[in-house]
Order: sequence, then C-alpha cells, then structure tokens
Amino acid sequence: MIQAEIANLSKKYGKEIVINDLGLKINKGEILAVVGPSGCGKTTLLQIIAGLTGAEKGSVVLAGRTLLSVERNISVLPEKRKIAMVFQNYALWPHYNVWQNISYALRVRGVEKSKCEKIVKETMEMVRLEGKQKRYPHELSGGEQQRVALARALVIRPDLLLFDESLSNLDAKMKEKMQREIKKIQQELRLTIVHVTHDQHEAMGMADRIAVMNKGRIEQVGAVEEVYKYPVTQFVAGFIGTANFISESLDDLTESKLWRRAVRAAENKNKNEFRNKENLLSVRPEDVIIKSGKGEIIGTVAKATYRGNAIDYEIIAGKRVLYVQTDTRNLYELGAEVSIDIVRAVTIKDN
Amino acid sequence: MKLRKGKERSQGPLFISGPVILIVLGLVLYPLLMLFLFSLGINLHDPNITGAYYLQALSDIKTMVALKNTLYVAGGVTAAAILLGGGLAWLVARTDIPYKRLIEIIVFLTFTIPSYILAVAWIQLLGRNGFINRLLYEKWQFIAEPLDIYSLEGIILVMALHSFPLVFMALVSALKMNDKTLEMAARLAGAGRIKALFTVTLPLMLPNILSVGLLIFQQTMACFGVAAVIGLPTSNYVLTTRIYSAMSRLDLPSAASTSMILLLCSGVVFCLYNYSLRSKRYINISSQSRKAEPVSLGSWKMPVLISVFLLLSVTTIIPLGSVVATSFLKSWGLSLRFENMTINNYLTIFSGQTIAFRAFFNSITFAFIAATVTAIMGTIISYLSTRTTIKGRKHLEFVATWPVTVPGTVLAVAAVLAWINAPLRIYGTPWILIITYIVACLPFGVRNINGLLQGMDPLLEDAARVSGASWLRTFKDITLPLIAPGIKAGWITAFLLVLREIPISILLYSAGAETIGVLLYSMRSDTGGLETVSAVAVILIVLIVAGNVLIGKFGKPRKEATNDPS
Ligand SMILES: Nc1ncnc2c1ncn2[C@@H]1O[C@H](COP(=O)(O)OP(=O)(O)O)[C@@H](O)[C@H]1O
Ligand SMILES: [Mg+2]
Repeated sequence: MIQAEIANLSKKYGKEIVINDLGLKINKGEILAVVGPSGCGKTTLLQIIAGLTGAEKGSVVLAGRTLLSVERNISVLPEKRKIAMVFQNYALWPHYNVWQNISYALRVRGVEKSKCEKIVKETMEMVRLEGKQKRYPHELSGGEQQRVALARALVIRPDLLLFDESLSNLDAKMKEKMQREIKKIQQELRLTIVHVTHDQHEAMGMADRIAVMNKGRIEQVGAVEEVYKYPVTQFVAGFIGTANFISESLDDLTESKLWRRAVRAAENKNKNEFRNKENLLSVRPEDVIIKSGKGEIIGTVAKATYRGNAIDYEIIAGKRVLYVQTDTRNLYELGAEVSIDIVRAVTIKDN
Repeated sequence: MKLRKGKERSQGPLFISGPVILIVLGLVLYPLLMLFLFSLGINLHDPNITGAYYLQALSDIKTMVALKNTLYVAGGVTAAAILLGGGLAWLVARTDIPYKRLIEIIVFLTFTIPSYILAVAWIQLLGRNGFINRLLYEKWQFIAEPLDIYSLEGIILVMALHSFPLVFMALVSALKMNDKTLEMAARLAGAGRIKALFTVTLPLMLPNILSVGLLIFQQTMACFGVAAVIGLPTSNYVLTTRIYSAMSRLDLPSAASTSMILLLCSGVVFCLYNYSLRSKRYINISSQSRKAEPVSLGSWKMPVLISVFLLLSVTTIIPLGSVVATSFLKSWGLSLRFENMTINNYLTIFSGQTIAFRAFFNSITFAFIAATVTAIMGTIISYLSTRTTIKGRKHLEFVATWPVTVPGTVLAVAAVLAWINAPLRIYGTPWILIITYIVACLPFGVRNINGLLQGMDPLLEDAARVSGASWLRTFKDITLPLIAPGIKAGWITAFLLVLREIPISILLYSAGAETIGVLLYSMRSDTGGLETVSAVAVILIVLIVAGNVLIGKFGKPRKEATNDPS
C-alpha cells in the first residue's frame, strides 16, 4: 500500500535546477533510504515534502491527501501536514529543555496536559531518555541530542517521518546502535520513514528499499540487494558499492579479453544488449577471482588493503586498474602476478 | 552549519513590510533628501530661495577654517588615542603586568563617561578656576601661566581621553586572538623583544589599528558637545559647532551646506572603516595558537605599573572624582571640606519643581518611546532582511543603518528642514525630538538584532513549523526568545543614547520639552550651575554603567562600541 506519492516534482534555485522531474512512491510502513552525493537535492526534496519550501512543478500526496499540487494550486502549510522531521544538526531549541523540546508539538496542538505528559513519557522511554527531561540541549551528548530530536519527531506519531542526514554526526558504533533502535521503534509504531543520506552504508544498514538520487532525479529504486546486484546506471553501480566498468575495446588486448570474459559471466535478461556499443558491464570486486600463476588474463598486484574480514586489492591489468575483493585465505604480495577471472557481471546504461 | 536563506513559503505577515518601508523612508531618507536639496539651493516650499550655497560655504573662510580644525582635531585625537590605548593594550595582553582586570575595569569605566561630562570635568580641573590651575599656578606657583583648556588642543585632550578605551578594547581582544607563535618564531629567529614587537606584532595588528582609528576619526568629526563646551568660548570652530552657530543665527543655507560637507567627510571615513572591517579577515586567528609566555617586565614591573595607574588616575579617576566631588559641593569653587558638602544638588533634580526634574522626566519619556519604537522596527527590519525574500530588503536594512554615519548635528538640521513646513510641521513639538532620536537609534536596533538573527539557524524555525506551530506561534515561541538578548541590548543602547544625546536635543527642543542634554549644555559655563550638572552627570554615569552591565549579561560582548552622541 502506498503511503506517499511524489510526482513530476521540479524545483529551481535561480537558474539552477535542483529537483528535476522527480517521481517517488513510498510504501506504508517502510524505511526508504534516499542516497545521493552532497548537493544532489536531497535536503531540498525533504523540504518540499515537509512544505518548508515550494516547487515549480509537481505534486505530493500523503495518506490520500494532496499536500502540494502546483498545477491545482494546492499547498498545505507545513504545520498542517502531519509530517515530522529530524534535522541534520538536530535543530533542538536551545532555550527549551528536553521535556519542552519533546512536548512542543503536542503543546501547540493543544493536547490536554495529562495526555501530553503520558505521550512524552512513553516516547522518552522509547528513545531511552528517562530522567533527562530537565536538561538543556547544550548539556547533552551528541547521541542524546539525537534522541531528543527523534523523540520530538515521534510524539505526534506522524504519517511520514523524514530524516535528513540525521545519523551523520554520530560515530560508527553509535550509528549502528541508533539504526537498530530506530528500526525497532519504526516497527513498533508502524512508521513510514524517508531517510536521506549521502552515506551508502548508512542507507543499507537500515532501509527496506533504497532510492538512488543524482542531479535532482531518482535513478533507481529497489530493495537494497536488488539495487546492489542489478544497478541500472553507471552512477548507481559506482555509488552503491564499488564497481569495475568494462567496455568493449578494440585496441587493448587485455581489455577485450576482460570484456569477453565479462560478457560470458553476465547475468542478463537480454543478450542482444551486448551488441549495443553504448552499453557497459559492471563487475563487483567480489565477482573478480584472482589466482596465483598463469591464466588467460594476467595482472599485477598494485595495492592491498587488509579489512579484517576481506582484502581489497588493486590489480593492474593492461592499462587499467581492477578493484578486487577476496577472502583472507589467500594472500598476494605486492607486485605478484595473478590470473584474473570474472564470475558475474551485469549490463548497465552508460550515462 | 549551513544556513538556508531564501524560502518561498509563507513568510509570515508580509503586509507589515509596507508600513515599515514607508516609515523608514519617511523618517530617514526624506529629511536627508531635504537637506541635500536645500543645500543645492532647491527649496520645495519657497522657490524664491535659490543660490549656490556650496559656493558660499566653500568660499567662506570660516567654514574652511572649521573644516581644517575638524581634521586637525580628529587626526590628533586618533593619533593620541591609538598611542595611549595601544600601549596599554599591549601591556595588558602581552606582558606580566599585575592587576590586568583592574586596569580593564577602569578603562571600561572611562568609556562609559559621556564625552561632554568628561569635558566638564576637565574644565573643572584645567579651567582658570580649576583644581589643577589652583594647585599648580596659584598655590605652588609651579607654572608661569595658567593652563588653558579652551583651545583646539583642549578638545583633542578630552576627546583622546574619551576615545582611547575603544582602541584599548579592540586591540586587547585582537592581541589575545592573534597567533602568538608568530611572535615567538620571530624571537627564536633572533629578533629582540622590541624588534619582534615592531616587525611582527605591530604589522599584524595594523588592520585592527587602522579600523579602530577610522572609527575614532569619524566619531570625533561627529562630536559636538566637547567641541562646543571647550571651543565656543574662544571661537575655535569645528564643523559641528559651525553648523550649530549657523542654526542659532537662523542661517539655514549655511547650516545646510556645512552639514553636507560634514556628512560627506563622515560618510567617506565611515565607508573606509567598513571596508577595513571587511578586509581585516586575513589575520591569522588559528585555533590551536598557543598561549605564549607573557613578556616579562622584570625590574621594570613596578615603575611601569605605577606609571599606568598614574595615567589612569589622570584619564579616569581624577575627572570622575572631580565630577562626583563637585556634585556634592554647595557651590563650585569652594574647597573640598565637609562643611561645604551637601546633597541638595541631587535633591533639586528630584524635587519635581525644577527644570532639572523636567529634563530628566522628558529625557526618560523620550528615551523610552524612542528605544521601544527602535526595538520594534529593528526586529521587523532584521526579520525582513534575513528571513524573507522580499525585494529590496537589503536596501531597507542599509537605509535603516545609514544614520550611524550621520552626525547628530546634521540629523538635527535635516529634521528642521524636513519638519518645519505644513502639513508635516512638527517642528516646535516634542515629536520632532522623538522622531530624530528614533532615526539616530535605529542602526543600533537593527544591528544588535540582525547579528543574532543571522547567527540563528533557520532550521530552528523550520523545526517548529514542522512540529505544528503556525508562523506567528513560531515567531513567539522560537524566534523572539532567541533574539531577545539582541532586542534588549538594542533597547538599552538606544535608551542610553537618547539620555546623553546633546546636539539633536539642543537644536530641536522646544520650551517645555527640555532634555538632559539641554540641561547639561545650558549649564556649561563654570560660573554657575556646575554642581547641578555634576549631579546630573553622576546619575547619568550610574545609569550607563548599569545599562552596560545589563547588556553584558543579556547579550554576547559586542564587537563595536556605540557612538557617543554628545
Ligand atoms: N536556499 C537555497 N538557495 C539557493 N540554492 C540552494 C538553496 N538550498 C540549496 N541550494 C542548492 O541546491 C542544491 C541542492 O542542495 P541540497 O538539497 O541541500 O543538497 P543535498 O541535501 O543533497 O546535499 C545545491 O546545489 C545547493 O547549492
Ligand atoms: Mg543536505
């Protein structure tokens, strides 16, 4: 069931097109991560959804209600949208203590005092902030501030919860912990969340689906593993995980050997696509197998990075560098000659 | 933190921008425009009056002398203030001189004394009948002739003593921020202490010295009270007093053209000042700069300390003490004995019958109105300029802050020209005073609030909107509490500015609407009334110190000081 639908959205700042005819459907009860590089328009997208800024074209529908339709001249005020947002720097009000920050949305809605107290108390327990209600934001650690921002967004049980890079300021361990907790709360309250981030790991760690955004457009939406395994564009393949791009080459022998090897390994629905010169093949590092000794395709180890559970190699093959990931059972010295094989590839659109 | 500026969403009640724009244009731009036109010989109300007033003014030798005197005084004050303030700043910021905090407090106290009162104090000390002349000349016959305060040098002395705290405060913070490792590196490279001071520290400080110097230059040019009380008795004119005497001769053309000359000079210097503030950025303020060992004064410590306190006694303690002492004297000229003391001078002020009481009452009323209007308008103008996308919002802010460059004397002349003719005739009523005070205060209202609004992340307001608060509710709950320190600081600044304002007051007051400024000015001679003036001065200083303490508590320390309007 679709909770929110964004269609044909366009937005300019001056001459610069920030959102470019963007469409996106958000399912009820899911966490959708929107990932994209800095400046691709993620924050702007959230601001339009929340009603904090306008758009030139398009519509936003949430839970059956049209919040924005430029064509029909509808624009619901932000305070009437039942959307909550956790901001990048938390945007906690410095003159309010924790309790006042969290209860604010209830107070402006005129929720009766005892009920308000009850909801705030519940929510504070949920984000594990018990006993901190009298503290002011500057007296809290980064993680605690994060929880206050979260609780502040949760109290109204919003139709849609927006996260704008909300976990970026936390350290890796803390981030993982927050992700688990948010996931748990989300399932408990059956929330619909749009989580915007430039960090692919953050996106993959929590989301049910990922939408990859580039230059104001959504390039691909899908389940996390689907997007990883079957990227449709070069941008998506390169942004979510690492990819080796291989194209047909007439003048480099190693390259054309790699190409032929990749074509054979390609998981593809339409073999004819290979005839199309414009297409590229994308090969994940873990889908490249290296062995010591001779083989059809030869490369040299140029760099090795030990990752604990895996090793990342950079292999010089012909004129190019191949990114390869192996398990830790076989180690290759720098400068060692290895034979290369490709076991899986997918075709992508060259953009 | 990334700040988002423009938003094309509901920006609140934009309809308010219309009236505010009209008020600002009407109060600020219209009078200055009238002044400009009038000085060109264009009179909208009386087309018969034409003529090249500029030519008249420029060919008038007296105006040229006044211009020359103005530049001489401003230059002298700037140089003296930089030497005095800079030296003291270096001692406090970079050496191991003891009692640093005490020195800072005394210097700050000097800063709170209105320059006009300082002038009166120095007249008490250096006038023919003054304490110092009585000691040095009459009693000890130490000098052949009594010292004469009534000269251009007298003006320089008083204004320099009034201005040096600005240099001190600016340079102490700059010296403290400046990366001391650079100085240490110079020392390590073999430069001696003095050589390091002149080759590294001073050049690094130069931009700061330049900008504070320009500020003092501009403020001295705009100063009226000191120049009047010291210069007028012996006909030593500067531009402000020249304008004043033209006004008292009802010679409007001459007043207007001289005003334009002063406005131009002051404006140019102020532009240079603003430019110097902007280009100052290259100074290396590294966050990890280490605290260098303060320069050890060694065996010089005691002599230096004693000289510093001797100096501070001359600049602050003695004048202040003289004012306080005089305020308790039965009659000026009596010696400081217990039987000559009285508190009657204070009682008269509060007795309710005297002109002094009326002046206090009027000034406080006007100051209250002006400060409140300024705070409201400052809030609206700053909000429009930082939080909305309406066209011309930056121009509005510019016009509202423009009067900071306009000397009070000029504002008063412009006000006379603007508000003397029907149907806009409010000349002769207290309203012309109030309106002109508002114009003079507006820049401080806007700046104090603007700074806070610019530093406040608009996301805080967005968060409230998303939480369900309407625009108005957001403004009330979030914006207003967070800019409240700026509003309070702006209000207090404006209030104090009006209380001690002199040129606008004496040029625009009408019978019954006398203010503290009028009172102080009318009792300036040392023949009588000095006791009451001193009592008024003491009360004023107490109010100013209290106000500054309040601002310090409410707001962050402000980078630039306010004009002294006397
Ligand atoms: N208020 C604004 N005015 C002008 N340009 C803006 C504004 N906000 C964002 N932009 C521009 O829009 C683009 C997208 O910004 P943003 O949505 O913040 O990207 P992201 O959140 O993905 O990093 C950027 O190029 C940015 O410079
Ligand atoms: Mg962003």
